[in-house]
This record gives sequence, structure tokens and C-alpha cells, in this order.
Amino acid sequence: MNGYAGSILRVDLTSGAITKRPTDPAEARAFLGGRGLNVKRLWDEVPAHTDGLAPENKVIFGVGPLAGSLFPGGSRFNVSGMSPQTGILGDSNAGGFFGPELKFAGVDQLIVEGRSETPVYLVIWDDWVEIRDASALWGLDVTEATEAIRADLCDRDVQTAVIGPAAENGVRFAGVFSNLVRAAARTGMGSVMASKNLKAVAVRGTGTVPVADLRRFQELIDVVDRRIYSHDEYEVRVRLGTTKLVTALNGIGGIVTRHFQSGVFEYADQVSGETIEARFKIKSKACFSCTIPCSRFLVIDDPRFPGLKLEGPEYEPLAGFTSRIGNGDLAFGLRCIDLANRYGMDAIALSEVISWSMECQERGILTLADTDGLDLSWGNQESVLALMHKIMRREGFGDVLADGVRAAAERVGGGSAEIAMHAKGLEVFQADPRAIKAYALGNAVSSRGADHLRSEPWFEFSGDAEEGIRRYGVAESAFRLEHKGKGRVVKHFEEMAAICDSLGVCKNTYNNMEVLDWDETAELLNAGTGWDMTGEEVRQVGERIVNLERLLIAREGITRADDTLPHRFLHEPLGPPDGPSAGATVDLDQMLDEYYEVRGWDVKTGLPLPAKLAELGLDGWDGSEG
Amino acid sequence: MGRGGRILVQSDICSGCRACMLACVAAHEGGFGYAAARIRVTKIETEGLDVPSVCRLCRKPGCVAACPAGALSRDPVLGVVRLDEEECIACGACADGCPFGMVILHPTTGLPLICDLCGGDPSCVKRCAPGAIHWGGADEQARERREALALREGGGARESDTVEEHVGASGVAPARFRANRPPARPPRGGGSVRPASRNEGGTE
Repeated sequence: MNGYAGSILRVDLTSGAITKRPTDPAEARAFLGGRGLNVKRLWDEVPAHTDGLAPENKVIFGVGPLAGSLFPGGSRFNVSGMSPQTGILGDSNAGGFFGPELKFAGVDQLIVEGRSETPVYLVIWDDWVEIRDASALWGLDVTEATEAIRADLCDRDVQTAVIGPAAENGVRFAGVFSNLVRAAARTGMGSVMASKNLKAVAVRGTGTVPVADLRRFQELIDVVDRRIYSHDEYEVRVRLGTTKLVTALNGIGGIVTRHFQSGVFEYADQVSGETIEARFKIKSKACFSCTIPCSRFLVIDDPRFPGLKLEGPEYEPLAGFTSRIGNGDLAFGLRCIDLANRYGMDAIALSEVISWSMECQERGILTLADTDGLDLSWGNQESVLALMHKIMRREGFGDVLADGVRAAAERVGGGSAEIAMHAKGLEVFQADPRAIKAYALGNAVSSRGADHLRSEPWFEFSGDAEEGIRRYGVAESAFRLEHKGKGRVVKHFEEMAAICDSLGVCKNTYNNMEVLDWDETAELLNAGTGWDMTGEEVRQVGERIVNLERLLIAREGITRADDTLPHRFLHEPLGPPDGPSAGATVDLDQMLDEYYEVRGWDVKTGLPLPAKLAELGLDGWDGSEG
Repeated sequence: MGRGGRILVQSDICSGCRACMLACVAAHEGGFGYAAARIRVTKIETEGLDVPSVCRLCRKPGCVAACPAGALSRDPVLGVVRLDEEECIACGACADGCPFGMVILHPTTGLPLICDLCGGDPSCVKRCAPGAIHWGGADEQARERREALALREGGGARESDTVEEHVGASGVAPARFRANRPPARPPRGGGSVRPASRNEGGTE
């Protein structure tokens, strides 16, 4: 099967059964791979209301038809299941080298089900699949476990997806980590692995994936390369990666500051991507096959943290452990990021529960006694480290935070829920939605809870009124503080993001740099697979995936009422009063109405209408016709 | 491009993406993978190390000498070692005979994979964004040796323009990738990179 590895691997950890079947071409054409094929599998095989940590839940790894290809950024994999953190769709995505390796080992999708009695890890070495004892790995951190597995298998090129001690200890926002720092960390997929006693998946793939028309594929990649190399942002992305956003978002007054109490951080210059480059960067690093190496290797020259070196960070953990918690000390922030990676936790969720605790203590909702005597004033380094340890171990006050901010607020009470920054149980990222309205809408409607990567609607930064009219009918769509047109913008970018995650490519190239339009995407896909898809068919696959995800979370009770944002974003004007986004709030209902309408969903319930489902080949999947 | 050239390596700017390996497999195998590549990038993640290794085009190739079947011969024009598949008995002695671990055995056929420089226009070089591998002619090799010698004799580090021009001229990696380079360090010749140990090649 051109463009695909060719098989779906299933491992039952309860019985030890390992089975393989060929990838279904019709299913592949309807859902592509990665995220799309994962949600299809979840829909088919995991019943509604399955507890995230129950053996009946599954953890599904998927790669797409462009993963492991020449496409720059074709390195991604998705890991999906029911989320133990949010109770709805769990799905997370990461780059690095694991996804391509899985594909070269002949696997398009890996389904792990059941629960092992004892700690195990899974070895996939081309056709050889083995469930191995992992008792010696249990308790090791992400770096140690990765290195130990490579030593165990005597091969440095073995790629791993591992969990850290946080997952083992029952933290519900623990992630799956590859290449030490490549984190599929959202929605607690690492916690699901831990519940199955699965420490890691280790893969070595020596195969070659067949391509339908290699020459045509290479011609199209030449076009992509030229667009990337001549892109305005090429140089800054190579120098700084996503850490460029500290300066950019601070400049528009939209950086998360002290738990969203302001959009301007007075120490932004000290913790910016530019400062990291000047002080600590050794060289640029890249994921598999990428011609835009936006990652960086850092050696932290600071006597307080001897030997500290790491790849990264991305903007999310960087702002999370600096501006969000009120910390202006860059080296300390990097130390926290390294620790979060080693413990194996979602840096967004972790920085939210820490900064939320800080604001709760500031407001008197939490006392010193509540927090085990920790003084949680902004940027208190000792307390931040102590709290990270406690969360990882689920110890004392850390136990309160280890299920995520929604659950923590339920336990703490006293008005703390109003400042718990999540949507559908997933914590909000490191930019203030009040300053960027399409992102606000994207976070509210996202199928996995508050999240920017389900849409990444960067277009609203463009300020290009004409292009806004051409694309989305209204000039306002091109301006970040406007509400009008954002329903259309988010719909478009949700479909792009779904295609991106299902092809197995990176949003930095495919989405943010827009290197291919729908028709060109279809051409590239056809060159790889030998299909005859049109651009519109590809877009429709994206729409199908978004709709199926909606059906899946509707099964768990999600409706329009859940498509919302924390109180602060809707009602409190964004500060500071003299800042570039001063006074902004989100008028969500106006955007939601437009969004549901263009989606073909019921504006009252937020659920897909039968006509839309029929159009997408999902007739009756909502149960309406059996 | 052409005769007398080789692939030069500057490992300190390698991003570790292995696009070179992927391009090599696409060119020689017609599909996507990296285990059957004739170039390697050894990665040590905890240290951030990424080290490309290429065939050194030995004048007295150990692989040829080790071959009991007479299946390997050195091409006097390009300097590459060529394989006669008819004669090859797939014993792997050539892999043992290469002191640098750069004879890779094909994961399924067991036949030796030896860099053929794609006939003088290597696919891997075209795919390298940072310019960590680049094509160098005899002139450039000589210049790089002179620079390295000058450095050893206390001439101090100086930025070389020639490599930049060369990479730019190939029309592949853009000259503005300069921002990615560490400041004022001389380029290193293809021969100065410590090769990967054979066990790290991972084709076993």
C-alpha cells in the first residue's frame, strides 16, 4: 500500500495476544491516519463513558501517510484514548523520531488494550513484537528510561515513547515522551499507559515505505522547500523556534502573566527566545527529515544548576515556567522545564495548577496550612520546585493538584473554580485569549478541551484586510481583537489542523507557514499513495474528523454549554490598563453562533445536524437513525 | 559537481534531522526509510550530539581488500567503490574491512551499501538544510587543509566565506542559514570527523 506502512498492530496486555492486520485502504482514504484514524478506532472500539484509567480504555498510536516522508516536518505521531484527566477525547501529538520509526517498522497504527499484571514495555523491531519485563525501568525518569531501553536493546537508533514517574504515581496529566523532550503531553495519555503498566513502546524500523510516484513527490517537495527557505519567518524560526513568541506576545499585550492577571510581563526580555539564544544556545536541532531546524540544544552555564543541558524548550513550557508563575529568572525556568520533562508531565497543565495555587494563596482562598506550609508568592523558586516534587509524588498538597486544575478547584472550593483556567477540564495555554479572539473561540470549541493546536488560527495576526475579505468574507477576520468572521477562520484552521495531524506533519510548516493549499496537499498525497483525491476531498476529510470528534465528545455529554472559557476571559478586562490589548474581553456567544452556523451544527445544542453528517458519510453515526 | 570532489562534513552545525539518510534511501531504494542509507548520522541525545559520517573514498579501500569474492572495485575517476552484485556473496567481510564502519549492509538483502556519490551530485547534500554536509572539490579540500594547519600553528580562528558561497551557489541551503552557524569557527574537512562506531550504525 503506497504511502503507508501497511499494517495495524494490536497488543492485548491482559492476554499477551499480539495480532496484525493490513491497513484498510478505504478507511485510510476516509480518515488518512494519525489523529483521524485514531479517533475512528476509538469510536469503533471504546464504549461511551469508559473510564480513562480502566483496562477497557485503549491507548492508540498512529502515524499518517506523510510521516517519515521527505515532507519537512513529516515526523509526527498521535497518541489517543479516553482521557483520564478530562473524561472526554484524549489525543496528543509529538514530533521527533518515534513516528517515522514506527512507520519504517511497518506499523500505521498500534492499538494497546487491556492491562498487564506487572510493568512491561513493548518492543517492535520490524516484524518482531515482544512484551518485555520493565520492572527494572519502573521508577526511572524519562531520560533514564530512554537511555536504559537503548542500552537494553543495544541500539542507539531505537526510538521510544516512554512515561515518567509522574504517570506511574497516578498524576492524570502525565504525557508520553520521545527523544527525551518530544512531548505528547496533553490529556494524560501517559497516565493511560501507566494504568496499563506499560512503561514504554520501543521501536526499530529498518523497512522502506513504498511511494507511488517518487519523482512527482520530489518535485512537489522542491516547491515546499523553496517556499520554506524564502518564507519571511524562516530565519527567526531557525534561530528561536517557537520561543520567538515571548517577545511577540508580550509586544501585543497577550502573554500569560501571573496566571492571566496581565498581558504584559515586565521581565519578558530576560526570559525571551532571543535571550536563550544569546546565553545558552549551542546549535539548532531538528525533528526527523525537517529542513527548518527550529529546536535548539542548550547548555545552561549557571553554577546553581551544574550540568543542566537540554533540547528545547518550546514557547509553552518557557512561558509556563516564567511569566505564568511570575518568574523572571531564565535559568531557573529552564531547570523547571527539564524537571517537568524528566518527570513526564504536561507543562501547560503543570504551570496552570502551580500558578492557580499562587493566585489562590494571594487571594486568601488557600492558606499556608493548605499548601503544606509552602509560601506560594509569585516566582518563589523553592516553593515551585517543592510543589513539582509533591505533584509528581501525589504527596500532600501535590495530591490535590495532580488531577488537573478543574478537579483541584472542586476540592479546594471557595471561589477557586472561577479562576481555574481550563475548558472541558483541559488547562489553557500560554497566551491570553482576550487578546486573540480566534484563539479564544478555538480554545472554547476544541474537541480535546482548551487548546490552541486544534486550530492554530494564526491568520488573525496578519492584519491583511483584503485577504480577510477574500478568504472569510469580512476584513475583521484579519485582526486579532475583532470578533467578526472568527467562526469561519476557526472552521478553516480546524480542518487544516485535523489534516496536519492525520497526515503526520508539523503545524509549523503545514499550517503556520501554509506551504501547501488544499489542491497541492491532494497532489502530494496522490503522489505518495497513488490516489486521485481532489483538494476538496482532502478538506472534507478534515471536516469529517472534526465532526466525528464532536460526536465522540457529545457521547460523553458535551454540548454548546461546555464550549466556553473561564470567567476571567469573558468578564474581566485584560490589563495592564495602558497595555496594547487593554480592556479586551471575549464575546464568545457571538463567535459561537457564527461558528456553529458555518459548521452546519445546531446553534442551540452545538451538535452536528443530520444533513452535515450525511454529507460527510457519517449518516446516523449520532444514533439518530440507529 | 564532478570529479575529484567529496562530501565534506561540518558536524557542529548538523541539526540531526537525518534528511540526508532519507534522501539517500529515496535515491537508491525508491521509497522512504533510513536504515538502508549510505550515509549515517549518529545521535547522542543527552549531549545534543549529531555526527554525520560519510564514505572516506579511501585510495586503498579496506572494503575492497577484505572482499573474498572480488566483487568490489575502486572507481578511479570518482574515487568511489563499486559493487558487482553478480559476484557478491553477501558475506559482510567488506563491512568488517572498513575501519570507519561506513560499509552498511542492506537490512533485507545483506548486500553492502557503499556511497556512490550519486554519480557526482549527491542527493544527501541537496537535502541538508544547515549545510552540515556539502560538496567540495579538490581546491576546497586543499584550502580547508591549509586553514586547519594555520589554526594549529596559532593563526587563530577565522570565518570562512568560501563554504558559505559554495553552499549558497548550490541553490539548496540558503546563505542566510548563516545565523545557524556558531561564530568564527573554521569549517572542518570531511576527513576530520570521528566516524561512528560500527555498532552504532544499527543495521545489524
